[in-house]
Amino acid sequence: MLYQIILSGLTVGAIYALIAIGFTIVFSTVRIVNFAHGEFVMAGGMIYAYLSAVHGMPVFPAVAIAIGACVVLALLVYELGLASMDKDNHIAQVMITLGVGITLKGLAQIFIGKDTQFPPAFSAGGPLAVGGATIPYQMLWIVGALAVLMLGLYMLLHHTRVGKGMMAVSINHYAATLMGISPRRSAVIAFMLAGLIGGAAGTLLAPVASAHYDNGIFLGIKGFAAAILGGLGSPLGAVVGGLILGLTESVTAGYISSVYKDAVSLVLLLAILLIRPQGLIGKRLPQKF
Amino acid sequence: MLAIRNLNKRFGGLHALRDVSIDAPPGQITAVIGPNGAGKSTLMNVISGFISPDGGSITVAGTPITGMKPHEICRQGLARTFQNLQMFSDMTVLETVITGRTRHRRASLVANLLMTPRVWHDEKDAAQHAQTLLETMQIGPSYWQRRAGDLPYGLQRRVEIARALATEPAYMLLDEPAAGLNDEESVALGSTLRELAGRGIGIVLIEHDIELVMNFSRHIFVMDAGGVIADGTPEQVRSKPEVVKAYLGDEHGA
Repeated sequence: MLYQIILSGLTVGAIYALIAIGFTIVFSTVRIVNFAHGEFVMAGGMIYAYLSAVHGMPVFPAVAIAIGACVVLALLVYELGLASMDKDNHIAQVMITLGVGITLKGLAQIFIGKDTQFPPAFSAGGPLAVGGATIPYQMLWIVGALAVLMLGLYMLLHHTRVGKGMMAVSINHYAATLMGISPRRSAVIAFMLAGLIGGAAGTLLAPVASAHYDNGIFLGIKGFAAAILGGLGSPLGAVVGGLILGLTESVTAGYISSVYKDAVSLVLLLAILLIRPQGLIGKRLPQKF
Repeated sequence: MLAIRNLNKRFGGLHALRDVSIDAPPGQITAVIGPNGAGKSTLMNVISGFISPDGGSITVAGTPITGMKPHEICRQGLARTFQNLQMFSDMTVLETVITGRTRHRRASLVANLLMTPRVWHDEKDAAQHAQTLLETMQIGPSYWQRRAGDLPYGLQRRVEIARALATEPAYMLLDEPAAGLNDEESVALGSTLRELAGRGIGIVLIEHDIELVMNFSRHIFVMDAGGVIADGTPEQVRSKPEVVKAYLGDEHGA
């Protein structure tokens, strides 16, 4: 029982972590909370479900197209919605992301449909039985994807100048521009990465938790909570926050009642923010520009 | 030539820059001095593109840069350091300097995401280049992996100059590089700057340390109340009554 609870907590947590990374990357470079981010996750799942159900496309091409579509979507949101805005008017930018989110949800409802869909798991067969717990293969895909994407993100941020440029923008926007780093380019890359990782989270989640046009808000809130919990701006914090949130929910649902799982995780979030306002791993925000 | 012509900037009633014209040739140290409030910082911010001027022009080797964004100006070969340190504190010293080489990246974004062999090769080159610059600025390998923000103040100043050099500038604006340095460090800085100028870089030095300015710069522009009130070689400037007046006040005037 405990194993099963921990395993499912880690799986849900890995999804939250993937979503949280998207919030964190965009926040670091653009200094806004992108409230449309949950809709990228929803779109990933919906497009994957649509391609496999309606067009009978095999799993991996469908997943690749769905993720690619999310990258393009994220790019469009930035280029059309945010790039030309006054960069100091954060409230207006956040309102735009909210509007874009609602629009994406509407588009999914119109073009893909209102039905709840369960696209196929990435690999057939399973579940594995390990010491009294059962592990669906999709669970391995999810945790594996988190590990691979985190490693990739780490390599990008610390071992390429694309990543160093993004870090520079996030640490000191003013000095970064004077090193020839284009803030707009960094923002574009941040949004594309958020689309990529968010879309991947959507396709990974859909086979176990369904795809539905209305899922974006709930997924976004969970991912945002995970990002805040770990410390907004820190990719590692996003992972830690996501896993803690997932485990808390799972343990609450398993030992108390699934009715309370959201309440308990929100109480946890509030408690941590009271003790460490910067999140578990986050640093205090650098000076504002 | 970094040529600044008739630059004007008003902030409401304050005439922060009045018809400022300054020439900084390549391969030389040109100093801009003046009392607090003379407009030196405004001048720096206008040149590097953070403040747009009300009138006038700035050209780098004949290319007008007025109206360009700061990162575009950097790509025209103009780098700067800051009066108040602007470090990438959480990065290592080496990473900080490599960041200056962002504009020299050759591989595409997709190649970077996939981390192709070419990207690895490129990044290795950038790291080597950064190491050479750190050595030029007398920052030994024992510091390279330290967190940039943890270094002593004087070293952070030198890391900033190394970072600016990493952009391969034709001209470098140094905003009070000797602030907070002791005499010995300040003289060492002067020799380093002279060496850099010897490599052909045009250095614009904004500085309060009069010794540094008098000993190391070829030409000095003196600003007061937003305008250039005098210019010349260190010897010429030292003897001008209007300079003494701006610095010491009327009663000491010649």
